[in-house]
Amino acid sequence: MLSILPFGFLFIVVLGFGTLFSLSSVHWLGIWAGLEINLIAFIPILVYSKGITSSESAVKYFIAQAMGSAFLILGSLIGFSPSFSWNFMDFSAHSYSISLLMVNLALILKMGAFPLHYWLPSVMAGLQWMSCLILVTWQKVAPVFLMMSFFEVSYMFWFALLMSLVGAGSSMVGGAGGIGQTQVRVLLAYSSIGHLGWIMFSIVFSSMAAKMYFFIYVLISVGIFLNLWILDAKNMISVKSFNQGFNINIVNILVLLISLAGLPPLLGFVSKMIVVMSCVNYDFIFILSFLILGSLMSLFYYLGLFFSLYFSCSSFLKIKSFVGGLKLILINTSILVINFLSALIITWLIGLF
Amino acid sequence: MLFIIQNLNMSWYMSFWSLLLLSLLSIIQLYMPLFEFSMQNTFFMNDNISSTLISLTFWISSMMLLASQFDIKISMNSSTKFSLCILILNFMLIMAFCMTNTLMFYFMFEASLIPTLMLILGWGYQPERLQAGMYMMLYTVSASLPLLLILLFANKSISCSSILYNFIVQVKIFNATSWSYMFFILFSFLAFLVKLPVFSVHLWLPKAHVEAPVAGSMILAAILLKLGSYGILRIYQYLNLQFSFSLTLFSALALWGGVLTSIICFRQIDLKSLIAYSSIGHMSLVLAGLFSNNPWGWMGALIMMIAHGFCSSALFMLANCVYEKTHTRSLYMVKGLLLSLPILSLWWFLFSAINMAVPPTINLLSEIMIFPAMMLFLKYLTLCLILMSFLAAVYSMYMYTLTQHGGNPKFLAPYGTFNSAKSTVLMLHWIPLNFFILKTELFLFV
Repeated sequence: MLSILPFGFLFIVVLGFGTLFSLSSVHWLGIWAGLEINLIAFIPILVYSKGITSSESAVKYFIAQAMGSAFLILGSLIGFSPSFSWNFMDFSAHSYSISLLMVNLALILKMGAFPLHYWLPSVMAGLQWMSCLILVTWQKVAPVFLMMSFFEVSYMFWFALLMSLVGAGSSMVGGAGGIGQTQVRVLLAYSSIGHLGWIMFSIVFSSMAAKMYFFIYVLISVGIFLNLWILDAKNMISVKSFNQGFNINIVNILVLLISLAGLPPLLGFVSKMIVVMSCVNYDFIFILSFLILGSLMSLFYYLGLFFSLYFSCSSFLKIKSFVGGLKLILINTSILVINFLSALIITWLIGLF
Repeated sequence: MLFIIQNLNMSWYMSFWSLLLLSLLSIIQLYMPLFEFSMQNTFFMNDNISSTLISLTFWISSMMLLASQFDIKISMNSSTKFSLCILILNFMLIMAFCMTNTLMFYFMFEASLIPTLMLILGWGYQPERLQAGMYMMLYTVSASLPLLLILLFANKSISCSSILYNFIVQVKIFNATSWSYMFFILFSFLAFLVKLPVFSVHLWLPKAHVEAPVAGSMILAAILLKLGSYGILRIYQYLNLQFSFSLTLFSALALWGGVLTSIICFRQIDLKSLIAYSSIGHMSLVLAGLFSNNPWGWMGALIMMIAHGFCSSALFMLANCVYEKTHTRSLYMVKGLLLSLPILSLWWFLFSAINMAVPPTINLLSEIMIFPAMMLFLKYLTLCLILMSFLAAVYSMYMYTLTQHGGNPKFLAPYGTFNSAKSTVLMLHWIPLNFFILKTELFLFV
């Protein structure tokens, strides 16, 4: 367990600090340094279980991230030559587009979106659940929000087109890759790629929608990963053979999976709807169809996981046999309630306008 | 009002009686002298179409509980969860039927899939129900996303999502002469065409019916298909559609598909699958009525919706009775029920006759109203109507003779499991079908 290790708290604080530092700096060096601090703090969190698979994953993760950071600093230096300023705000549309492209490719590599996503599933396959959770939520914060601010600083058509194509590709890859997966972690990694695609796409049209989507995705993933952590499910087979004691967790995962798939009674639908609403008046609606196709393909594997979970809980809702303590019950129920109620309310509110 | 479902975690009998009571109360709402919306508040409205469907929903839901009393309640097959599932489904359907807000309508339309999936997965019989559930989800969800796009597009362009602002939508958002108009219509109706289902996107329906428990089949045939046709009516009103070539195309596809599915009925060996295909045929008539651009067609479609809701639900109930008696649904095995359960074969006779639209029933009325509307719209499709009407009679008789006549199979237990609850269910399906003919102004809303 990470939380009882003496260094766990330290590294989590440094992890958070790195991201915040990177996001709040206006200088390229600060952005780069924040990302590196974040990486340095995350590596020990990856290997805390001392397993061979997690150290392999950590090495893969390190290589990908170090490469991303190198490209980031290189791209920013290329942008330095026309403007003689290493300031982020001067990184305007009139500087070299090659530098903009390079910086964005670095960020795409760092977050694991479509053309450079290959490291993400294989890294996730070897990690512990807690590290997976941090990997798909907090580690995405810095690249996604940096990208959002780049987009606000330098809006160009080709850049918007590139971002939405990256989004569409991520969604398709996230949908196609998860089909036929037997490992739950890899499946969730592909699902994370798919959702990242939606976020990238919505950055183009409204950063508010992207933030909303990201927040909802984090909320759902926290619920799913916490419950899977308690159950410690490795693959679909072990999902089937949970004994009857852990049932409330399974119900939570069921609901959250449907939510992650974006089906209407739950919150995941709202995030997708907001993205669609924000882009429906623009010309990129054709690209949106690829995103929708990708999320349909991912619906297929979510349903597969849903089915295998559904039949593992023939007599669910035995609360007395719940493992994990009162705090987790509270977290779980609050996430469920949020999922059910806020979806209704938000749809209603949107409908009023 | 109608849409309040009380206290969700109540016992089986409480939910049964409250559903019956609600269906009684909803009858008060049924009659409206004019074709108009009556607003309950900002969010809910009902008109003739939705109030009849709400009554149908309550009625069929209480019948579902009564019909699966042996399966679920007596055999202790998690009855509380079952009734909870049905109540949630009921709630979502009622909400979908009386929403003024297009987004909320879409929300509820989609949300009704989840409890249905739960019903199929949780109380179905065979392992193939996984595949059936997957088919159902993927077909309906993927077809409904274009509808979401259209609705959001319409909402953006008129800055309001109320269904009642229909006249603005048409002016604002599209130009009926452009070629993209056809795609527009395809997109806005695809969700409902799959839900209905019309031929060529119908594959999920027989699978879902075969795998679902009796209550699941009943609500699937009686209400969920009606949700599709209700959606077509509403979206038609909302977008204020004019004539378009694609409507002709859909009507032709639906009607020829109806003929084909009626022929497919003869090749079925599964009783439930036969009934499912016959209901696809009937729903294609509904679609033809809706797309005929004619008040008679609309009225006929509404009547057909109600009639088919009762009739197919009763047929699924009968198929379940046979299944409980013989433990098979195969038409090769189920024979000679006339000898073993004569009362059941009386009901088989009555409902087979209703399925082929015999005189006192509202099925006949609906066919009478849809046929001329369709003939006025496209005279060439009269051939399909004739064929379908004929084939409906043939497969209903085929189904009746195949199950009721002939010798008994050897494995048939001599005692029956038929009790008065089942008779009640069938009677409560039969009465509205035959007696609504005395009060048809409920449906003649123009």
